[in-house]
Amino acid sequence: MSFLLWLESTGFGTFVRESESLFAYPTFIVLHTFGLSIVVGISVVVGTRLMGLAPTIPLAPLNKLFPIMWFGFAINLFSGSGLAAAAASTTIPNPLFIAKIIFVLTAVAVMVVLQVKVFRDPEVDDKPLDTMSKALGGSLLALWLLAMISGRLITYIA
Amino acid sequence: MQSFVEWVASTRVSWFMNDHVWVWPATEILHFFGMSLLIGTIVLLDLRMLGMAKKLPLLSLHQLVPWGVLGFAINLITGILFFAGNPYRYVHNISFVLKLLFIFLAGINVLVFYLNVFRDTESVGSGDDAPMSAKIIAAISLFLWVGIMGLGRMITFMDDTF
Repeated sequence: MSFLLWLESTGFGTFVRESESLFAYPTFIVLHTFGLSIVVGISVVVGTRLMGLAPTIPLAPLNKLFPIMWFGFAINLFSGSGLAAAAASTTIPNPLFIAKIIFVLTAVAVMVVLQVKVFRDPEVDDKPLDTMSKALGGSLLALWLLAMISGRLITYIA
Repeated sequence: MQSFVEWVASTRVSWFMNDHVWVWPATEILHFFGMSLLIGTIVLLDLRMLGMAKKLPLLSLHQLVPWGVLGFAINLITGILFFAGNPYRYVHNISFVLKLLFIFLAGINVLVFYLNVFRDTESVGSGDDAPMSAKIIAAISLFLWVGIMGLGRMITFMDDTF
């Protein structure tokens, strides 16, 4: 707990929480929404394609979208760190926050596996997708949905 | 405007939005879900027109537009619910007013795209560059949707600014 109180009292945490500037809390919240729309939005396309929707979209070029998704994730790692630090002692022990982090980390692991095992395979479009890839696509969508739900509820359930 | 706001606040929908603690957060979650559908599909189409991931044939990506429309429909409905729940707050909020303006402009942009530009993009296959007219539409679309998201999220911080 003393670590969480220290985190709250750091310059970063205090700035995000207490500064009257629009560049403090409001900007971190807006950035978190931008990052979400990028990483979850593109995951919707990648995930539904893997699950068999819009099968005429070639899979291999979707590999090019991963850097954009990682960019969105980086925005949210940064903005999320600021938001969590600003209210560390109340947010971080919140079971909803812990659940959200677990969903996010699992989604990130799924993204890594998809990128390395599925989309980097130059022959990905020459053979039918295996069940594992389809399942990973569905899992990615489910995990982001759960992360979004738990994240939004942190505001309401302390 | 005042009587309209009072009427909205007197409707059953407005009561419903305020009478149960779970309704507002549930509506917000749906609004984020709709946003992900809309932004994911539209931004991807915009980025492809601007020259990213050119191996993707434009028409194959265009199949996803109905998902974007579904996302927009979800957000139109949930957005109306927010407004119904607290109309006074929204009509006095500069961020909300600008967001509506941006959505209107994005609508005009979509109309221009389908009336004038879409037919020139149907043949944009794997590896092809989209025509300049499509790139301009795509850049405007990206700008407006990023703005709509930012303005939407800023509503919370902009009470009594209009």
